[in-house]
Amino acid sequence: MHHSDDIANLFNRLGAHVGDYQEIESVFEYHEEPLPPTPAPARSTTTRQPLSRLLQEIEQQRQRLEAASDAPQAFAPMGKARVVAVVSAQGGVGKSTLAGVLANALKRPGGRTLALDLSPQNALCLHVGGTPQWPGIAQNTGGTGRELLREGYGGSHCLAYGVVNDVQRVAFEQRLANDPLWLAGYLGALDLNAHDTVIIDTPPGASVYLSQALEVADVVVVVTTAEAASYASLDQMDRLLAPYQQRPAPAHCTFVINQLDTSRQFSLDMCAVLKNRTGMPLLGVVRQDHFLSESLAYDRDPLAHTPNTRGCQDALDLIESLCELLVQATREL
Amino acid sequence: MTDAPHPKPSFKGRAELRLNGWLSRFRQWRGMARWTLILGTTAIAALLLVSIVSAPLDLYTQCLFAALCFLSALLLKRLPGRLPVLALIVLSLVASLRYAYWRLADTLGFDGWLDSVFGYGLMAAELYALVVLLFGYVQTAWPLRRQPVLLAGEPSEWPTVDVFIPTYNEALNIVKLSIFAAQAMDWPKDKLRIHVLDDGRRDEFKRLCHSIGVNYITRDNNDHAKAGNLNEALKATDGEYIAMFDADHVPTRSFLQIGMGWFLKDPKLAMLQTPHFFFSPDPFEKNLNTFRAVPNEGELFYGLVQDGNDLWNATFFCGSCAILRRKPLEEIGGVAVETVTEDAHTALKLNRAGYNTAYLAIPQAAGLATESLSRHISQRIRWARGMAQIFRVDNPLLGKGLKLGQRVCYANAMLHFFYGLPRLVFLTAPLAYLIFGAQIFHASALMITAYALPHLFHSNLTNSRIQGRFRHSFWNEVYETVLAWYIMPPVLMALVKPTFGGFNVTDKGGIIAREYFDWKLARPYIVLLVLNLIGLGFGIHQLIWGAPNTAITVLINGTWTLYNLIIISAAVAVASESRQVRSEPRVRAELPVKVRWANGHEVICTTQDFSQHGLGFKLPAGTTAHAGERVRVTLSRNAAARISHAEFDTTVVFSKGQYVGVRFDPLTLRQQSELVRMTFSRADTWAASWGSGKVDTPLSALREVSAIGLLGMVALLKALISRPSDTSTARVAPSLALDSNLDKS
Repeated sequence: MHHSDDIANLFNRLGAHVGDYQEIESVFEYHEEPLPPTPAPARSTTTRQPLSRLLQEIEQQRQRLEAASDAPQAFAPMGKARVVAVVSAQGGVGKSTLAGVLANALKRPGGRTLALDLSPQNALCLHVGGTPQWPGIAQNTGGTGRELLREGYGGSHCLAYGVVNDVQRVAFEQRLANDPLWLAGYLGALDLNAHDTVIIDTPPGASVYLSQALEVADVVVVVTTAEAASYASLDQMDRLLAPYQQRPAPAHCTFVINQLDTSRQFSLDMCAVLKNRTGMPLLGVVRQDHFLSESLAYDRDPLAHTPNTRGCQDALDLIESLCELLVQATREL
Repeated sequence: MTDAPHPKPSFKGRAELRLNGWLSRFRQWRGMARWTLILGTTAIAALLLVSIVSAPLDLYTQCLFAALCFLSALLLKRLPGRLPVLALIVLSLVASLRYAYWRLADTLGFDGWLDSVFGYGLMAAELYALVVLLFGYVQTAWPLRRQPVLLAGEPSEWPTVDVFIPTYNEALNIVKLSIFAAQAMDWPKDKLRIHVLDDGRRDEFKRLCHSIGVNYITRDNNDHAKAGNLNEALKATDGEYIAMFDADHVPTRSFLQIGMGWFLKDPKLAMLQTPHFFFSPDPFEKNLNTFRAVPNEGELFYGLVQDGNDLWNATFFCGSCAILRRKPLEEIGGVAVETVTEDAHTALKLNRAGYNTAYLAIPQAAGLATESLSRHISQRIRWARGMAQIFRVDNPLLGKGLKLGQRVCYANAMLHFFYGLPRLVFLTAPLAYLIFGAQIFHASALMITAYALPHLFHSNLTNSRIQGRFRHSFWNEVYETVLAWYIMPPVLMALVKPTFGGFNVTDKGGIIAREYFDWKLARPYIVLLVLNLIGLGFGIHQLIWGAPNTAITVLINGTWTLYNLIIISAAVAVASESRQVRSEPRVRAELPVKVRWANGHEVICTTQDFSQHGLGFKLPAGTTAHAGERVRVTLSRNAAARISHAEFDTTVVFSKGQYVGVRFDPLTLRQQSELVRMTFSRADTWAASWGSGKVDTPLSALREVSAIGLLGMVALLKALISRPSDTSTARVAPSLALDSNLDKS
């Protein structure tokens, strides 16, 4: 019988024959108490607001609505579409690709999906099967966005950012800066109903585009990767989102770990660290999948062409979770 | 661990082998012939001894005789084997008995009451020392060195065992280790019942026991302290055997399988005892910095004395790390409650009832030593009181049921604790002459030298040979000096009135925040020191300006005083408490461990130490770790087969060169259990460092003790100088335990 080192050593020392020593590993049932949770990292503005302040906000909102109702109805939505803002604090995390995939595959029953690109990079239209020549919202051609809508993969629609020069871009950003509710109005003019979904792609980090998107978002999806820098970037994102979370009906903030490299232990461990992070819940994890990125090169809809790759599967799971979240958001309103 | 040397097997000399052969033939003779031979030989030997001891010799013949004996002893000491030990004992007895005979016959006869008091006092102390020496030789001349017997048969046929872990005020995180280790013992799950006996009736213990599935027993009173606790638990359980562990003694996984075999082999065996091994230093080792270099105080008892007792079937129970058979225990009425050392008394009762007791000199459980001198002293006071109580209440020399060997062994165990008064007498005897001029010894100085020196040298040499691995020379005197003043009153009280006083509980696992000099505790030693210094001063004065014919006497007394000074200053050194940073110490051990960083890099190395909360290990050259890094450590019991291992996520908290210390993330109960299985439960950790200290040589021991004595004086002076500045700051661990040794039933 082969014995463990410690038994063998003991009997060697005694000068005795280990013979019939029986090693019995008994297993006992343990009732674990949950470990005390690590204290949540303090959000920058988590102090409870005094009641007077809350009432003030309600009054301000009421006044805004009344003022808006006096003005000619710039938008008269028959129920508000659900808006998903895809944001990130870092660049290169695969935000536009993911936004494109969401736009292609997400379809709520009885509704349409609109991909809206608020990123000067103008990449979203490419992911939904368009070209850079598509007209965009930054081009300020006047009128509503309805003329700018184009069709993309999977029956989705797309509003590109548009190719603009520096002067036009700056002017556009100035307009956005002056009117925080510009996007709200723009969307209102699009005749969207409550079954429709808008996916907004934004540039990384803090920007006027991000502020606009956060104004109208029902769900915020923060895209990040399983890298060391992601940990800090999520904190930064918390800070950017904080003011919007103070509102009476704040958006649901979640995050997605994108491009997860499962062959590296570090990535897996980093993934676990992010999962354990308190604060925003994790919506899903999308594993690294070169098919997804290659499909852009080949002008293909990855979900139509190679739906069985792991990235696509993860993306589909993600979309399901997102749908559930949107349903929940609907119920709350 | 991997490079620990194998112990030398006990060497049977040629003479011993021949003797063994002769003995086995002898046993085949008929009863009558054997008895005649034994009686005849004993008679001749007795006559011979008496004639040698009482032969009056003049100074020069005595010196010659003593020199011859001593030379032979020096030669004999070098021979390996057991028979030379017996020869040495005989020589030592001859020298000591000659001295005793001469002393009693020629040197008493005092003028004046002062001389008489001092003289008879010294005589009594010397008689005590002689009796203890004699009994000690009987006890330790031939250690049995019992080997473990493994169990035959299937685990399903093995007997049921109740494991008792009595606790009163120990902290949960200390008792947790014992409980997890008890669960990890290699014994069939359905035959192993673990019970925590909580006399403190604490909620957190109850909750823990329920979570991990061990039994929780309480009673609604605290009568008779631990003994009462155990007896109540006896009534509530029904296993065939009972294994007892103190709350802070952690058993290894092999404890039961190693110990149980003898019970099945010998139906009359009622109790098997194993050593109390300490993985933390006791106050002597800590304050004198001799951990694992000099054998600690307990090693003599657990390494030699109990082994010697085992030959005479007189091993006594020590309260923990033992297995008892239920039937005999219940037959004598459970654990004895009449005295405060309930354990020794229980074993005495078992022996009287005709049962056997056994000892295995293999450490299979380890625990915390007392970590401050005051707590140590409290514990020894309790033992001394208890032994004195048993001596009065249930004297082993009287009463029936015991054999002669058992009587001698038990009596010696108790007499040992009466050293308080004799030790104090020895420490002050020379002052009677130096300070008061009392003639307490009626003999010329040279005669004293001729008779007393051989007695001292022989006993020292013989004890060094017998005990060398377990106790270094002169350390006996240091231990006794430290405890003598404190032990004396309780022992005298217990001898006079055994039922006086209650039970004081030793508590373990505290923190000593900074080093300090325990003035209150060291007071008696300082008094003795001062007295002896005064005596030395008087002696020097007399040498220079006194009558020249007293010179030799003064010199002898002066040397004795010097010797006392060395011993007392070493005792003072012990009172200088060094700092203990942690409340549960780390165990020094080398276990194989695999370390993995998050980037995938892995190394295999060995630990330096472990505790419940972290590990220390030494990285191989070329790898480093930085404080704050996260690493995953894997401990295993079977490095080759890669089964039975446990992984823990840790954070590096300490990194210096190759040495790294990590702290575990908060562990679930399952993980804590795994940790105990991989570390404390290992069968070989304690056995590896058992009896591995330097073997004694009297001269180097004397040098060692003198060095420590010097350090003690330095510490005393330092404390004296800094005393005015820190009288205002309160001491962290007051010696309150000593004052309350008569309450807390």
